[in-house]
Amino acid sequence: MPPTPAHWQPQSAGKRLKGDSRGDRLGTRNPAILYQAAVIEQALDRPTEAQKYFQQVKAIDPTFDVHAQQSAYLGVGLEF
Amino acid sequence: MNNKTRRLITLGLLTCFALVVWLGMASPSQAHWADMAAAEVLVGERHTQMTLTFPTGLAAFADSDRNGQLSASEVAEHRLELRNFLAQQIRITDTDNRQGTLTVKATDGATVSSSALTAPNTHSTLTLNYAWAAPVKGLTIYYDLFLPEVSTASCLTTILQAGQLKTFVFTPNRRHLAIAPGLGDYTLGGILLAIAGALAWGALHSMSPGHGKSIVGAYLVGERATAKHALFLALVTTVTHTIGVFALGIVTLFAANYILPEQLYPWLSLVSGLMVAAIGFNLFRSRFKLNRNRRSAHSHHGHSHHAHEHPHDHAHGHSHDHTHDHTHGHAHGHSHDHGHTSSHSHVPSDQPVTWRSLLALGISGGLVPCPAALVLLLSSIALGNVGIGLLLLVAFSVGLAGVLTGLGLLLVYAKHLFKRVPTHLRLVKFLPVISAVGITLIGFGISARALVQISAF
Amino acid sequence: METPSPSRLGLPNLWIRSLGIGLPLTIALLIGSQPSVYTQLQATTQAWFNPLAEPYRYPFNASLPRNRSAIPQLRQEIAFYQERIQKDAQRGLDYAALALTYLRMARTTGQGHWYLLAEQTAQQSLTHLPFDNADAQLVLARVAEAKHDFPGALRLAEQLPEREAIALAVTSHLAMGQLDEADQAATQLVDATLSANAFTLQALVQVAQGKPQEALQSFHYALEVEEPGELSNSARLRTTLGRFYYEQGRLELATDLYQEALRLLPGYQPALVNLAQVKLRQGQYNAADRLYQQAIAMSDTMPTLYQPTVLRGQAQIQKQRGNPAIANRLWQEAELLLRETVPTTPSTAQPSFGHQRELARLLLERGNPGDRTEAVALMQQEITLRRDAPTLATYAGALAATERWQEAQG
Repeated sequence: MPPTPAHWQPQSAGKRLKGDSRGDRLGTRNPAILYQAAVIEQALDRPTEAQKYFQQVKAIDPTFDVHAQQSAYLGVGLEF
Repeated sequence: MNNKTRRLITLGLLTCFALVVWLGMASPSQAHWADMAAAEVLVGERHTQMTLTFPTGLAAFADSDRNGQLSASEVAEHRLELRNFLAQQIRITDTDNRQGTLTVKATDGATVSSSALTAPNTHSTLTLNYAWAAPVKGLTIYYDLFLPEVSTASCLTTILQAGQLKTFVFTPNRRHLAIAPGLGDYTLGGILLAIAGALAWGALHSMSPGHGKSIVGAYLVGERATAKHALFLALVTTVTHTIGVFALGIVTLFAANYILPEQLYPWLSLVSGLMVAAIGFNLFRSRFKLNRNRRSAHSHHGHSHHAHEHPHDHAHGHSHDHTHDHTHGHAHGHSHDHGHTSSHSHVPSDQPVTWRSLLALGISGGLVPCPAALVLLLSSIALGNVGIGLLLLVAFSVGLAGVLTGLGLLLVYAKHLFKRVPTHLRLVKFLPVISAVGITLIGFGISARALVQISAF
Repeated sequence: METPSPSRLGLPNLWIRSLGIGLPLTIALLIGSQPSVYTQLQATTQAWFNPLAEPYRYPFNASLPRNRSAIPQLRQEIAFYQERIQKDAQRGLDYAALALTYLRMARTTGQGHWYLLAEQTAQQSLTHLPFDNADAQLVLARVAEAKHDFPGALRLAEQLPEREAIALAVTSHLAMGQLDEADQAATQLVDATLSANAFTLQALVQVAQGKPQEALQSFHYALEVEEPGELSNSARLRTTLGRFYYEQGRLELATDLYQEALRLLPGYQPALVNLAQVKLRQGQYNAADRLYQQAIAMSDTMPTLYQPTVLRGQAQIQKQRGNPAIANRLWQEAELLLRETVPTTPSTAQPSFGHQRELARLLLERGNPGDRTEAVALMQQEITLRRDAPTLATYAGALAATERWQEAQG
């Protein structure tokens, strides 16, 4: 067994399942997904919600732009 | 056709050659994959077994219950049809073009219960056995079990023969594979391409650390070498290297019970390193002495020049013991700046290159066989083709030596550039000595590393 | 400058002169044109001038082997087990060991055929040894996972030892978007093993949950406990962490991490593809193209599972360069690869390497009006299998492309 990392504390192994484990309320912080949500809100003529999403995008990734959106799904690693 | 045009044409031809070799070496065009199949081939003396996993749809006629898999009972029921079908699509023939007698049976995994399986399987596995009456030497596999009009279909095949594993991918554009081929199975084009490949491989391999480039460079820089010397050096390296690899190959094949090749390498390195160090030390001694003599003769050198270039109306009856103190009333001083055209250079030594030193240097450079060349030879022998193996080995060694030749010729060519180097620089004067020191140090380094490896045994 | 005459230089004829100039030029051309040379040179200089600080820099450089490719070793193992089976075809354990080797080959090369061999060999192993054959069960479960049959993988995981079962549970639940289950499994795995792999999986779960601070902490724990000699795990860890930083816009750090992964495992496809993604985003199309070329070159004669992504990336480059015809050709090639593994009708739906989603993304990227409806259909099929954030986002994108905004917003 590898040595214990510094400051690591074992978490509760018997964590209860939450009632709602649907995948559609995920709290994602993927800027590409949030950017897409903003575009959809814009198309639905909901500028306030759109602005909220755009601000979230900028808060996570200040350099996010149209190039980032175009290449968003051309990587490997955080999804299966 | 003038010289310039000839040069351009030659450079163009060489560039084309480079392009052809590069294309040959570069990765093949992307092979699309679909309709995946996989096969394990075990090659024996009289029997070859292929365990084939393929899309069941290709033999749908045998899938009675349409569950996407051929069960043992379905295989038994349709054995003859399967045999005839597969004998058409997959043929394994010997060097006399005789097809082995084929028997087909279900592989044990076909009866695994569904609980052990995941999603419904789309593939079936069969065992194909090919048998010949007499031992076979070379085999050719023809594979054409693809879905019609699916250009991206492919079958990954592993081939195990005499303990060596090889992989090959059959596609609709690549349906043939020769395994353990005899000489006759190669086309002339194939052999030439293999030779070109070995040549390029040897050349590329010599660019990796080692192989005497620095030694050759350091040596030729300090000597009055010509192109002939550079070529001779390269030739000796080639021959030595070829003989060395062949000898090591013999040892590997026949004496492996007594001597392990990896135990020989450090000893060869030690011998090579000591030879290099000895050559370097000798060079250092001779160049240092020459340098010292030149420096002491130089003070009188001006006078003898003087006598030649600037005729005086008085006698110069002095010898080398003559001091500078004379009253000729010349306007010039005794420095290198004679103010006239010098017919010699102070940078390269006047030491002529000896064939013996070149021979020794070449032997030391080629003494340690490259493992890559050894692999080349042994692989060919394992495939039953000693002749081709030797040919490829020679090509490899020529490629390896070719780089040394190029380096040597470049240095010879570049030597006249040294005439432009400011000759009053001390460093330039000592360059031959420094290079000799470098050779000695390299030799000691090689020997030291070899000693460490030997002591590890 | 006076041209030296041949006689003075001792060069007898034109051919020797040509050899003297042409051969070194030829060799330089041969070397310089190989796509791997650039990255190898980069890897070497990076070892000397590594911009990464601790702990991102690999700490076990002294133990790095010279030849870091696992493939020759795997080939030897395959040959070894095949020979043993040839001598005695009843040994279930040998089949299981061979199946595991095929699986490792599949994961190392990314080539799908090896999964097929692994599955077939594991099935043969279970025939000869139906009980206490965890290795064969593990292979079948991992192949199911690779084929994106996550429910099947979980079913098979029930028969595995605890640690293997939990690891599979993390990845399967994560892929299906069941984050609470994935979180619980990841916590159990970390508690049980304290391994770098466990912490990495936990970090992935936390990223999916939108907890970047916790995820970064888990990545750091993973780096703290990484062990020498496990190059593929270390490369994977750095690639994943690099992708995490990429999504926060920290492109330089992501680049350094990808390059560190490539230094550990030259030609490591995920790092190559991700590095190309960074260059693409930065508008460095030549650099991105070079990396894609290298990814293709490293795939030997068989395309890998990353091939469609590479082709899509190359298509994007051509599109940006204003070459729509070439871009279309590349998209077509990728589409052909993806279609061969996607079920033709929904009723015969079988998971197969998860290419539905990627095909849908390709159709949306290409932007042909006729492709959009099919993209929606593909994603409607995909979300019955999994509901993770990227899949739902792609579905939303497909709906948006067909102007079904309300559904997309839902």
